[in-house]
Amino acid sequence: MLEYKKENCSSCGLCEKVCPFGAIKIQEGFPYIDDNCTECGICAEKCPANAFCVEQKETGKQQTEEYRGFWVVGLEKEGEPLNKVTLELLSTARKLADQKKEKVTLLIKGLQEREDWKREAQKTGCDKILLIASEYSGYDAKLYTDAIECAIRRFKPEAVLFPATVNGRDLAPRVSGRVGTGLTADCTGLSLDENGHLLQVRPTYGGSIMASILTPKHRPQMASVRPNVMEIQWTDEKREVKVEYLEDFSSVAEDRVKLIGCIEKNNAFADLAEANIVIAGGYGLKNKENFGKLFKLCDRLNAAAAATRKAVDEGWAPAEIQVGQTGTTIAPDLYIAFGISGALQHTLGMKNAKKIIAVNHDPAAPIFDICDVAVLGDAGEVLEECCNILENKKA
Amino acid sequence: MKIVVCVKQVPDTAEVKIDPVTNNLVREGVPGIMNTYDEAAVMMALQLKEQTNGTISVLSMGPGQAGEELKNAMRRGADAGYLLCDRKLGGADTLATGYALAETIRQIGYDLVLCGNEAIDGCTGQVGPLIGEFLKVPALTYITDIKVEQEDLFCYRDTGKCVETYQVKGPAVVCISDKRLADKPYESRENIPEIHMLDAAHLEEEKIGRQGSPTRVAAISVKGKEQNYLKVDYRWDCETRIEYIMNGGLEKKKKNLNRETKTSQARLIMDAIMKK
Repeated sequence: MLEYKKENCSSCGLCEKVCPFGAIKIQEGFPYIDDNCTECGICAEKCPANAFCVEQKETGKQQTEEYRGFWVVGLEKEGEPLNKVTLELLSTARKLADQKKEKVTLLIKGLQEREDWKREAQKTGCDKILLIASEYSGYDAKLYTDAIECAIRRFKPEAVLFPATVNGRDLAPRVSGRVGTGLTADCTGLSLDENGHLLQVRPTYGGSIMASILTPKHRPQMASVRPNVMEIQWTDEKREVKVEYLEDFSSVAEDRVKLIGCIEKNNAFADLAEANIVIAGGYGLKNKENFGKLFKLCDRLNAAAAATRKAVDEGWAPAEIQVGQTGTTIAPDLYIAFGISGALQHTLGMKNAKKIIAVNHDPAAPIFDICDVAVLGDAGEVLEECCNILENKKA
Repeated sequence: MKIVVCVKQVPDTAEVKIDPVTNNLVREGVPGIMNTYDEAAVMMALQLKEQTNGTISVLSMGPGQAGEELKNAMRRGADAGYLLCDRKLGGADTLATGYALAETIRQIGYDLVLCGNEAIDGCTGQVGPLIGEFLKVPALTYITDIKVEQEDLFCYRDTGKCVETYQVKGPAVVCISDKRLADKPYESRENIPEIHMLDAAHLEEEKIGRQGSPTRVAAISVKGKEQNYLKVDYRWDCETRIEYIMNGGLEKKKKNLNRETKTSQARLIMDAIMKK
């Protein structure tokens, strides 16, 4: 509880100004604390008269020094190569671990050692792959939670990173509840503070505010990290990747919940964030019919569809596929822009694409300055031709 | 079926403003609304209530004014409202919130717990799964629809890639992610029961509020300006500045415009795709 000592108070009013939650009001010369107080302690820190005190009684204190090494949880399905987000997290973990001269471990479900996993992991500087051996194929929250709990209790990592994907965001809170530690969702930045704690930066209030979160006294420190925010960095170091099985682990999937069906969605609306090829449309496509063609093309080519805000506002494309400052941030290998002028709002969401091909009728369109291949022409007509080529190829 | 729905009052984020001088959140005068996803969960509960002849209890943890959202839910047809309100609960992160809600739900009694998939202010999506963990029951997230057949629940989960169907037996926590449910019309009723006020007496003190929260907010800042805006150096000449803005701050790449026929242009694009 936040304690206020009236006898120390000099009525300077600073607390009212520094409270980030607007929970302090000066009334009749003295602060009044309302329900918005989150006990963040900033008032206590800033008060020149020491009139505030945040009780620092902590329980369940752990020996934080005992916990070492940085872990990444991979949620790959059977037979899948390592996901992009896993490699991003491994690279991030490597950077953090280097500062403390610690090791990076990938915790992943798999019955056998896989050469491609090992190779890719090695390139990011991963030291060890810890395999959860289970016959169960696919994602099951209970099985994963049991396994990760078992691994954490045995090896005591100081930080565990999860992908902030649908399943990652389902799993991470369960693990945090099980081991009783803190978890920060959807981080966009991770670093170490001066005490070596993991400083987790995340957007909040609809992205208008960034909060920096610490888990000072509990271990492991856990965070889920958004895909496509961290960079994949390959190292040339020749590092030996050890592969081990999580021993003495036996658990089964939740028997009260059964996956009885799965309908694949149109490929065009599959995972936009993970897609290697993205085909996007903007206002220059002029109508909904052209977007229909674009979605069909995406579906056939296994590419993900994207749209600008203007196209979404026009009702030509669903809001989920909006790319830009408001919308998804993507970093595909190939980005094809049909009828997109290249407004800042949009380019901020796709500027990390490796190769950009732009089709536009306006030679002065800003997107032509940043793209790799500039195609001058009517976006709708070129799209139509692309569909024709695909049709003919099939025939 | 006994359904408990968890609701949170959130500031209307569309109206959250930042004081330009202090960089703080301006809370004053910002209206509180029911979290949209929780609203969807309430509407889902109403559907299930009708089908199963069940009862709905709504539960919220927060300051006294959060009672407004409980009243809102009861006007729609929920049978009882519980407000968990105690200064000791202040400063709770998701872990402490999950614990407090789960223990309270256990006391109220439940067959099914419905939550919004996430709150529109914090956007963590962590409290639902945490309630499941503390109650030791399955928690299903990203659920867009629920059907009841005999004793079983059929939950539809939208993962972005596909729509999965789960058959669930026995008590569970289900987190609703389809915001559109919130817009369903409803008949508002006038006479609603009193809210049950609960304090933290039934909870373990070291697991709630700030004390029970492992995470600390170290700092709050307005989003990194480099991410949202371009920094334009006033020392550059006018032309450079305009060009920089037009390019969105990205490096300008020199190239020739492709002015070929649309067929060869299309072929060029298709070849690029096929190469990947």
